[in-house]
Amino acid sequence: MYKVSRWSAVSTQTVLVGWAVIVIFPMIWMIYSSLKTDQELFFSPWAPPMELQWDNFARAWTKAHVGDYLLNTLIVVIPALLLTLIISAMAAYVLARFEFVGRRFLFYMFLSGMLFPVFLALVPLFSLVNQLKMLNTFHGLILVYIAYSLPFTIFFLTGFFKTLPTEIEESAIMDGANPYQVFFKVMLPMASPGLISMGIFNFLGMWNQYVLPLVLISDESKYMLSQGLAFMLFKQFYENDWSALFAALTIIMVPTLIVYITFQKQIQDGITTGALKG
Amino acid sequence: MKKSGISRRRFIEYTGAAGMGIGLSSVLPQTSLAKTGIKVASGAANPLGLASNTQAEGVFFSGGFGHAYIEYAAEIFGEVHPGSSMSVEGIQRVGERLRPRIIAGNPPDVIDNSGAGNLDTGALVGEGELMDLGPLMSAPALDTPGKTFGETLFPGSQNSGLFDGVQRYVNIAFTVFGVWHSKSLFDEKGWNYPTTWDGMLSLCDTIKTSGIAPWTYQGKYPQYMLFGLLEPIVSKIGGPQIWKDVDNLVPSAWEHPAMLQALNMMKALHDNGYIMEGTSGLTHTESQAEWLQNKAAFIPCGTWLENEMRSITPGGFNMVIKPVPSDDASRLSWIDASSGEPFMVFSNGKNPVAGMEFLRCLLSKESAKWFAQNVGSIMPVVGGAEGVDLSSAMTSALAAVDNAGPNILDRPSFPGWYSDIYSEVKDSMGALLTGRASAEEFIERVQGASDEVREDEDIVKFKRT
Amino acid sequence: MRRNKYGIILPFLAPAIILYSLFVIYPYSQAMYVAFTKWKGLRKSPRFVGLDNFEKMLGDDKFWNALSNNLIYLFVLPIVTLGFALFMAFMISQKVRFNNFYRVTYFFPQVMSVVAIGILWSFVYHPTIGIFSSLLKAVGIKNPPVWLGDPDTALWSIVAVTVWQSAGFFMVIFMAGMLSIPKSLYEAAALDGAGRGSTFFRITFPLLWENTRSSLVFITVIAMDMFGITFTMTQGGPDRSTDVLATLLYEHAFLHSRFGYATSIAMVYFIIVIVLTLLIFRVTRRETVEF
Repeated sequence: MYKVSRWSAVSTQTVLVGWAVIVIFPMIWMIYSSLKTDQELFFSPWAPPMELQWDNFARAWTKAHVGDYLLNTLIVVIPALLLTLIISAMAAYVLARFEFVGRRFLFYMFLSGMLFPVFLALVPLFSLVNQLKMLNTFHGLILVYIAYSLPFTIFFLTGFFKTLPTEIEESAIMDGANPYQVFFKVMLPMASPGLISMGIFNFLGMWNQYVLPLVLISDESKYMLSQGLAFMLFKQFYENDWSALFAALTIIMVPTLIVYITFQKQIQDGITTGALKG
Repeated sequence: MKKSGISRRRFIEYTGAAGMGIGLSSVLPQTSLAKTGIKVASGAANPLGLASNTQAEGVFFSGGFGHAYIEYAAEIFGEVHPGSSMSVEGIQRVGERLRPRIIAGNPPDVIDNSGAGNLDTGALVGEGELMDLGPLMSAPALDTPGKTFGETLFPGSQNSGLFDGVQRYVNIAFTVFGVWHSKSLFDEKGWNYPTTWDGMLSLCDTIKTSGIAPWTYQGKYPQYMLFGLLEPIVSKIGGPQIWKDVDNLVPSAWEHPAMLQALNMMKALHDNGYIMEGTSGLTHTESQAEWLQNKAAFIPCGTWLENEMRSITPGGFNMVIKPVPSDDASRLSWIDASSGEPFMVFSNGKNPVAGMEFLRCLLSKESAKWFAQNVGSIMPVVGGAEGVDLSSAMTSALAAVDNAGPNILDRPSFPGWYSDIYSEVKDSMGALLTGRASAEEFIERVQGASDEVREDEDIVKFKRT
Repeated sequence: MRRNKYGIILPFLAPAIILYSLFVIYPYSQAMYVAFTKWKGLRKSPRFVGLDNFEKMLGDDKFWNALSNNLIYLFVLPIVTLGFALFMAFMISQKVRFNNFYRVTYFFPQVMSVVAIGILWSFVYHPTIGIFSSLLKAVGIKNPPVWLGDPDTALWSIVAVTVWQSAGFFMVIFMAGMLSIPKSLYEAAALDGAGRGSTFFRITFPLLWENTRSSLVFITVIAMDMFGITFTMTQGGPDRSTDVLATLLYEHAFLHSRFGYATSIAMVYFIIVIVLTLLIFRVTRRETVEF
């Protein structure tokens, strides 16, 4: 389109390659450090391992329960995510398509939830969940995850439903479909791009959530991933097992990396459209 | 310097470590139980009236000592009370884990409230959360016939758990605090442990020229330099009254000239470049790991050090503990030794009696022996180390206590009573040792925090005599 | 047009309203009250003290220290992160070679857990195990800074990690905006003989207001929070040099048993976020260019 000098093309590539190295290298270092002994970690941070210490992974998986934390997180995140999407979609559909008393009020009430810092609610939330006898339970955490994902998801999906054409919906009603059939058979499929965006956006938020489980789950066998990892770090302060900590980091990061590379297009679209609508 | 109340020779008697265990043979019949082999004294099986089939819950800090010794005590508990049990969970960051349950009115029955991020003891006492352990103290001891539980513990060892005369927790580890070095390294290099602080500085100079950093400390946790150095040095220069004044929030207590002198002595370590590069960025186990590789010659710590680092201690390292030198060589032997690791029972737990009963098992002679043997430290239980082979580290600690004679220094109580002052001390200590605060600034900051606590009506105050 | 519309409105809204009122509205309204009380966070109930907590805050050096650290982040992070992200977005959208690879790579830290990032980077900065210090030693710097152990460098080390984590995210946001700019505008500029620089400043950047506004709101929220990364890397130390409002209020609540005061700090934090968000929307409102 316009003239790009050779020099500037080279310098552009240099900057881009440089940043790529800065992003990638810590992770490569983490992976090969996870295969070293503690002695090697201390004496030669750069050197690759003399002998691969798979045992580090075994310790991280069993002794440090990284496997359990992964499973716990899946048990909570999958239902929380599905329910968030369906509950938000129902509310958003009504907010976008029906006129009724209090509609604006409800919309702004949900919207306000996006502005509260979670720290403000931490202590009362704890007392509440305790009164409901849901501390240290997965279903308690699932309900809290849903509640805190609603504001943004409803806000986003309301906007999304508004952009959908009304003709198909109306012709379905003409054909005699009841409102439930209209929603589940017609509207939901049409909204699937928006639901996918929100699904990815919320999945990452819930998967990496740290503060909520820190307060609501105190039983070590029910820890979430981030919480379990932080717990390992603090435990590490007493146990001198750095290599297992590196192994745990690797165990957590590699699957994330694989999923990310496989779905990177959808993930980036999901997060950025989510972010831009906010 | 009486407070701890253990006199020179009697200390050896108490521990029984030197094989001179006091004869506790008794004419009273005893029942021996199968697994742990504990011999329950007659009439001591259930003095507190534990209901049968009690399933109690304990949550314990698992740090330098680990928590295998607590599991052993739970085994004793189960044998003494068939059908009942004490569950044992080892955790870190006790405050974060347990506060929710305390607010909820659902605390465990018994806890070990130690380590970084523990619960604010002053607030727990002030709010009436902790059980009065008086009945436990006067109950018969589990396996020492004819004595009450309280009588089997080292004299003075439970004073820090007294709040306005009421026993709110018991300390289960007798700890000696001081300066550690590798005897092998010092022998190899021909270095001798100094008798004065000036001697320390000139030895540091020698060490530095040899390419080893003279000092390191537990970087991110500068409080190790409080109990390792500042506390004993101040007491050696100005006497133990200073720390009592500090604990009692006496105005200007921190401005005592001995404080300034001690802080300046410590600051000299930084000013002369004697502290290992990178120290301030390390956690406690990381700095201790560096020290174990002879990258630094001295490190402050308590006697849990040996067990904490056992898995990565090189063979033949021979760690030994010494009292910190001060301005006066004649006071070299004075050393900090006290009981710590507070175990508490919650007044509104489900089974407070089980909590107390568990402590009676934990501080039994049988459990104390297991602790000495397997953890390499000692409990403040009379005769608790009888017939046990102690490691070089523990032997050196007991020798240091022995040398100190009556001059066993007490640790101040403000860290447990007033978390605000303690936080300020930690921050200021880090600043002092990295050259960012002068001794005068340290004093000004900490005195300021102390004044604020004194004037804050919402903080419950305690008195030390 | 619709019969018995409340037959669908109520059941469709009910689950969202119930969950949201119970777990979000109710705790936040409780918090509004706790901020005006003294409460040790143990069993005894909060005691109402009016504005005491806020008065105390005015004279609390630790509060001002934490707030000023947040302000440093608020000032530095948008400039550095967004500037860098914009720069890279522009370069990559120029169809450089491997642009897809760069886009995928740069974005990855965004999907990682903050805790994992905090732990990984505290090891990167580690004085003995860390690669960073040993790299500097290798090139002849004898005593490299103790990054997280020195109050002069700790905050900036955390800034660097935050840039590392979020630059790719903002880059993708800007790229989304750039792709929607009509090609014809660029072609016209090229015909006028504009270079890369003037194309960027005269066409690309003005058309990105929407994206810039969203990015500003996001980076403001990040700069005000910083809890996860600080808590895993330094816990506010050394000597409070990385303390922010979130870690300070956590400390007051969970270390010193001052839940009332902690909640009042959270209120201030909340008000700052609200005011800044409104401000950003106000300032950028009329600048949006339609095409």
